[in-house]
Parts: sequence; C-alpha cells; structure tokens
Amino acid sequence: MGTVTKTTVGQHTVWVDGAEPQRWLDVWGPECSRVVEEFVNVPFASANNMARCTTTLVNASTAALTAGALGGTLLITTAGAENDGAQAQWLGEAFLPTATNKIYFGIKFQVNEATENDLMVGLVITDTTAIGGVTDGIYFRKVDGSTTCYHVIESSSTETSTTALTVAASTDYVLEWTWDGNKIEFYVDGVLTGTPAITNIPTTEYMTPTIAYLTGEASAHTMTVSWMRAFQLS
Amino acid sequence: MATEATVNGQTVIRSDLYTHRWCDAYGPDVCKYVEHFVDTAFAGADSPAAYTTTLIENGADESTVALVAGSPNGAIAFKSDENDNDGCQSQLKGEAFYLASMYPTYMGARFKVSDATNSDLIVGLAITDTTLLGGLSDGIYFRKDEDDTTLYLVAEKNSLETKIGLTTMADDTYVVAEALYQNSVVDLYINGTKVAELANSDPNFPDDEYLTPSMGILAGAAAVGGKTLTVDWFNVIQIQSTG
Repeated sequence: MGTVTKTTVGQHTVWVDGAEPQRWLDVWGPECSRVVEEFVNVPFASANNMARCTTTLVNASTAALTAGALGGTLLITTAGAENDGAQAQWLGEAFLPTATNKIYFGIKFQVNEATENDLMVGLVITDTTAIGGVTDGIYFRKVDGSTTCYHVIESSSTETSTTALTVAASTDYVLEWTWDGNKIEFYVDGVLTGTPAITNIPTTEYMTPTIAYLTGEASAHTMTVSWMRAFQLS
Repeated sequence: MATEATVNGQTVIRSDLYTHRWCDAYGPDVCKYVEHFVDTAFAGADSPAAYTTTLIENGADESTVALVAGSPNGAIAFKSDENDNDGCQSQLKGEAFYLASMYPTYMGARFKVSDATNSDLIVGLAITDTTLLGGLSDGIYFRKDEDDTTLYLVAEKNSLETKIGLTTMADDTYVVAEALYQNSVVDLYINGTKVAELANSDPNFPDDEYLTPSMGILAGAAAVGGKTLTVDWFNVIQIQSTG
C-alpha cells in the first residue's frame, strides 16, 4: 500500500509519495506548470492521436489506451519495420530549468523488448524526430543494440550522458528527475542514480513532456506507460 | 466545504456535509475520473474526445452529445433522436477500474432526464459495449427503464443482474445517485441519504471484468425533440490498494 503526504514548497502545496520523497504526485498553487497523465481520462482528437499532444507515428504504429488495465495505461505498438514507432509531445513548451524554478519529471513504463528498441522519456524541445533529433532536453534515452539506458542533459546538441540502468523486457521502471534551481538528480525506481554536472543544462529553450519509442529491428515492439507527471514551480 | 480523509494511505477529499461523497483523491494508488463537464474536450460534434460515443438515429432529427451552454458549473446533455429507441451513449476510453480486490471505490453522479417514464438511461461503471442499454454483460450502474420511473442500482455479471430500487424519478428533476464500496459492502445514496446497500457476495457483483465510466439514454417512445439525459457531474474514484 502506498501513502501520500502533503507538503509546502514556496507558495505551493505538493502531494508527495509517502515512500518516495522525490516523487511529486500533484501540485496546487498560483505559479505552477502541471502535466498529470494517468491514462484514465484522456481526450483523443482521432485514433492514435491524443488531443493534448503532437503525436508522430511512423508507418502503422499506434498509441492507444489499454482496455482492461488497472489504473489505466497507454500502449505504444510499433509497426514492423526498423525505426517504426510513435512519439507524443505535450502541446506547448512550458518548462525551463532556471535558478528560480523547481521541476519534477517522472514516468512509469515497461517495454516488451530489452535490446532492439529506442526510447526517450523526459522534457525535451519540440521535435518530430525526438530520438536522435532533439537539440535540447533533460531525459532518459536508450538506443537499439544495447540494454543500457542513460540520463541525458542536452543543450544546443551538446550532451552530458551517464548510465542510468540496464533495461529488461516486460519489467516496470519508474524513471524520475528533479531540478531544484541549481542541481539535477536522476532516480531509477526510487534510487538516486546520478547527479551529473549541469554544464549542458538547457537554459534557453523551453521544453515539454515527451514519450518516444521506436523498434530497433524488423519486428513490432511495445511500450506500456502507466503514468507520467511533470511539474514546474516558479 | 470539503475535508481530507485517509483511505488506505491515500488522501480523499470529501464533502463535509455528505461524508460518503468523494470529490477528489491524491496518492500513488488513486485511480480517478472527476468530470464536471466544464472544460471537456471534443474531437468533433457529438464526440467528447476522451470517450467512445455511439449514436442511434432513426428519427427525423438526430441524437446529440454536447456541453450545455448556460448551465451553472457545467453539464453534458445526451439527447435522443425522435424515434423509439433512438439515443446515444459515451464510454470513457480504456477500462481502468476493477472491483475484484475490494478496492475502496466511490461512484457518484448528479443527473436528470426530460421524461421520467418514456426513457431508458444508464450512468455508472460498465464493460465496453456499444449497446449499453440492453447489451452489456458486466457493470455496476444506475439505470432507469422505459415505462418505469424507478431508478435502480444494477449489479451485473455475465449478463445476470441484481436490481435494487432506489428512488422514483420525476421529469427534469436532478437526482444525486451515489455508491460507496468499502469493507465488502456497497452503500447506496440518493440525494445524500442512504437508501440501500449491496454486499459484494451478491452473485451478480461484477468482480472479474475491468469497467469504465459510462452514460447513455434511449428514447422510450417516439417524440418530437427526443428525450434528454443531462449529467451535471460524474465522479469515479478508486483506491487501488487493499490497505
């Protein structure tokens, strides 16, 4: 059983996971940017096209809610050619790690293949080819041919990347990062895995929550996302 | 006024006056659908974007699903076309709610119908089905049948149902119907007063299918202008841990 606590951060009320103090569940307050997606009540503009996002599908890939998933999930299913897949970027770009902002990003997901896939989750600049194409972002990234997933801080296409975890198939992961105004911390399943230098922190480009997934071989693969949350307090 | 309570480690925001009424909840085990029909996104006419909507239109007009302009605090109207059994329904996409594990669950809605006799209506949790009224196999929901003004709580499993009469509906008169599932029992409330209960030992308690918030109406007779179900708010909040 999980628990929740309520705390105050500046002029904001923050609901925090009782067992994971870095994990923000929701925020109230006058100066907050807030994306809370539990994949329960999700408007779709059309099939595979969440209305709050710009969705890019490569070939016949799909992105739809799962019927019969406890608490709601988003299922991305790639088409069957290498580099087929889908990405969703929430509309607008509202997040920027400044000295006066605090940011939380978190996501829970699993993939059905450990090696032959590419994934990116985090806050990144708007780009229709997020994996391989973005210039600015703070995110987790895995590329095909490897099971290693990295934390990445990228500004103007120059990045700092450090190892975050080894991905296994069909295993849930909670990946998170926090920014407190001068330091970034990455977490994997509630464990602090990195506090990299902020040399490449993106300070001039606004970013938005992003989920991207591509198959790395000529075979369809899936990514199942349980929740994604992003908060910024100014 | 609202106050905070703790249910299986989660924070539930509930009414001070009606303590069974859950307005919102926060916590890692919370699954919630809180809809006041104020900023509801639409993918197109008659198509609220988070829902799968089915229209039945055989009359001279059309069935429609739309937010109500000029409704205090927001509302959605499901209006039938003009033939008997014309109508419409919307079901939230996905099926995220489950009643097998004694997860504490609140389901409540405020709604009215333009004709309390000549209409069928449903508001509640149901399995995905394009013919909710008459076709679904599993759910727990509030239902009124045509030629009958009684609002029932229906528990349905594998197309077998248990019906409990809750209240008599009147034309164009709002009712708040609520169900609170805790400790193996579903307490049933009408307009804030407990009127009945249902044990989860009932053979028709739907405990083996995922369910989703659902609303719909069918006209019970041909009528110019059709029949309208108006829903002011609809909340389903489930604590998906057993404590």
